[in-house]
Amino acid sequence: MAAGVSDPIRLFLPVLFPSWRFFGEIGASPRVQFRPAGGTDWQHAVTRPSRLPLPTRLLRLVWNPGWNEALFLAALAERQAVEPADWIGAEIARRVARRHGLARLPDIRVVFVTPGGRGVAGDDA
Amino acid sequence: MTLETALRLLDIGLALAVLQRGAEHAGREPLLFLPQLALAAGLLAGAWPAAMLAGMWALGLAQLARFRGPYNGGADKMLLLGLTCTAAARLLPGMADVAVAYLAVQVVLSYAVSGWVKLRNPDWRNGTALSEVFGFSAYPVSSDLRALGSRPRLMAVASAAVIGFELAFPLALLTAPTLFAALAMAAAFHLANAVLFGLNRFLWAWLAAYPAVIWFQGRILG
Repeated sequence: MAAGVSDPIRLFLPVLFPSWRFFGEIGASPRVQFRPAGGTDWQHAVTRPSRLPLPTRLLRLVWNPGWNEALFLAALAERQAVEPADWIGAEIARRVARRHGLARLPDIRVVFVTPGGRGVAGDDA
Repeated sequence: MTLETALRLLDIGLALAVLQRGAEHAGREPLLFLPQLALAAGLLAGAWPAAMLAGMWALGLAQLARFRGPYNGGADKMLLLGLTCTAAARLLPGMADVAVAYLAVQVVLSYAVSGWVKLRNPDWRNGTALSEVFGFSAYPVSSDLRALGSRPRLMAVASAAVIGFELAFPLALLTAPTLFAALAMAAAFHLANAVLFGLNRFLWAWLAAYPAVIWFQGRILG
């Protein structure tokens, strides 16, 4: 069952007793895609530049909201696959609409990429 | 390092980490983040640290509920754990050493456990897992970094270095010089993760907690 806003203590326990199992396994990686209302083509919700200049990388040490939201979207997509919940889909759609300046909530789908890039049509890069 | 010095350094580090994180959110979630920014500024100035920390902790809990878990994974966990332990130390002076020691132990475990789970995975030992992180995960901040995943020797060496460093981190507690060297390497590791994968908040959250480890080493083995 998805956590509600009324049970912060249950959410707090993994903070107080963390597992720290960072990157123990590398599983399939999610890519959130969206289709604007009335549209036909799926687009990547998150894209990355081919290169990122060093000054930009350094600036992002202190100001990185767009990328942190991209990582949050990936975490939500992974969570949706494990424990599907309406709020996750709504949160993703709302954030994608705002990122792309959409007036209406888009359709959302998640494609999981496996090693070698299999599973996704065109990379988000 | 005295406990009081460690607590003041924890105040400063946590305040800066909260300011960095909160600034990224405040425009969209002002009710949850603007008050925390104000409290962090007060903590940085040294005003009523126990009250500031308690307020920051409560708002951190509310943010955890808002996002139904950590927004930024381990970084949010470490930051909230740091707020928890430091607030507890300020509010319960008789338990201050226990609270700061717990934070220190968790920092050490964050490296050691992470290294252990990688060591047990053959894909990490031979570099395949790191190659996959670069090659197809959602983390690399630019596409040109994907090419690094196609360099198996580099990935194997980098994997071995990360696993070895993380597993050996607890041994650094044996002396102050080795601990400072290990913390410098750990900071460089977080800096690399920030530059390559955009994990900037991990850098600030872990740096903020290092005074606890330095105090702990001196208290237990110094």
